[in-house]
Amino acid sequence: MQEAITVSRLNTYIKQIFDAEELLHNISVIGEVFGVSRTRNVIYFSLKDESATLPCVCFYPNYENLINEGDSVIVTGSPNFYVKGGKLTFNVVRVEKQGQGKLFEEFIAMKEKLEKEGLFDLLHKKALPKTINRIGVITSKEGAVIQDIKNVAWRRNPGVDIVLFNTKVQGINAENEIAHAIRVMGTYNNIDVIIVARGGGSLEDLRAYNTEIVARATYDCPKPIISAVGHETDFTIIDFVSDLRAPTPSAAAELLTSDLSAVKGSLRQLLSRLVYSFKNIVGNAQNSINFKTNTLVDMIEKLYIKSRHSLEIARNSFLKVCDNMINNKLYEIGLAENTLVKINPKSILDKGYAKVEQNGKSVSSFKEINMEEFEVVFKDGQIRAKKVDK
Amino acid sequence: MEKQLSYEEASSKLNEIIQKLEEGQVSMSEAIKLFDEGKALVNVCYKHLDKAKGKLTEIKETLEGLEEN
Repeated sequence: MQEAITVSRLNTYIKQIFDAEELLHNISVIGEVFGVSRTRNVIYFSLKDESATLPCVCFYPNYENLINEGDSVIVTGSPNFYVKGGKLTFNVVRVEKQGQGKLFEEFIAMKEKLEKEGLFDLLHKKALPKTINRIGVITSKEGAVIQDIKNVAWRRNPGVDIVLFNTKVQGINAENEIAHAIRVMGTYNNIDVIIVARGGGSLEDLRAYNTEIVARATYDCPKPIISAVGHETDFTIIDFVSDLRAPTPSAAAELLTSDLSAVKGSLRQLLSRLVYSFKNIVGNAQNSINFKTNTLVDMIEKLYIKSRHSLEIARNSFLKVCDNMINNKLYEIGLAENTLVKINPKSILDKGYAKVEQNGKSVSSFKEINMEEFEVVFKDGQIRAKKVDK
Repeated sequence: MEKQLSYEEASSKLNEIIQKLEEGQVSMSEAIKLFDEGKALVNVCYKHLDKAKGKLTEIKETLEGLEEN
């Protein structure tokens, strides 16, 4: 008979066997959750299938939402033998949902209800505006989503404005905040389109986007809404109601911003066509103006020469006429002067002739003398004379 | 002469005087008076014509100046 060993020794030995077995490290186990109990930081539960159960412990409280009674889950972790209690538990480090849980059933029910009401109706969907200058984003101010959207949008078009409406994206009251944000942003005149965005997560994380209040706010919003909730594989109710569903927030930003470099390229092409046709028009106009200018200059030159010529003729004849007129007068006056000099009465007296006058009147014949006395005028004076004989 | 006569007035008056003197009907003193008057009228006429000639030269020079510009 072998020597007995202590409980501690045995338990330690068993633990060492489990720890050494690499096949048992980081394995995934499928089962249904039951017997959940929680402390502040630890979740205790069991997984079972038809014929076996496995006690589990999870030290990650954020998996709390996935660990619900009756849910089918896949847990990943390693079995651990507790030396002190002599019990084996499965140490869970990751939990994934498996199959249709309660939340999923609710999701399906809500989707069917709203679909019947016509909230997913394609006819109701609004087209995106052609030019988008301002994008409203409804998401949390923390986290990568808003940053991703800004990065993508501004890389493609640095001119686009992005207005954030900060809301919770999960947890208590998130759906009310999101619905409120949609209703408020819908009234902003200068916002062209709204993105409702959130990063990826479990069905529970995305719960707010599956609520009726968010769906109705989206349906009622007068502005186009793009939903970008979760990863490409995640579908939420808002994705069916929104005017467009983007697979990710970055994709939404990409959809709404035209690639500026492409726009620049086509603008450049348009511009060069414009410049080309403008040059053509200007060139043609220039040619026609040049031609007309030349013709005009020719005409003016000819007119000038012609006018100048006739002006010269007119001037010359004018000067000649004036000259002739003055010369004629000079000639006339010269003649008159000569005549005057010739008939100068003094010159006759100067030659020694004397003039006979009677009563101040010239007498040219002796017969005219009818008085006893008459006057004889010499060059140096006059005398009274008396008739002596006939 | 009290009043400046025009060329036409002066020349027609001159012709009248010449005619009167040629007719020889006037007395010697009258003839001398007329002769002096005639000489003065000849001067008036020359003055008018000199003035006109000067004006014409001025016009000619102005026109030539215009042409050079």
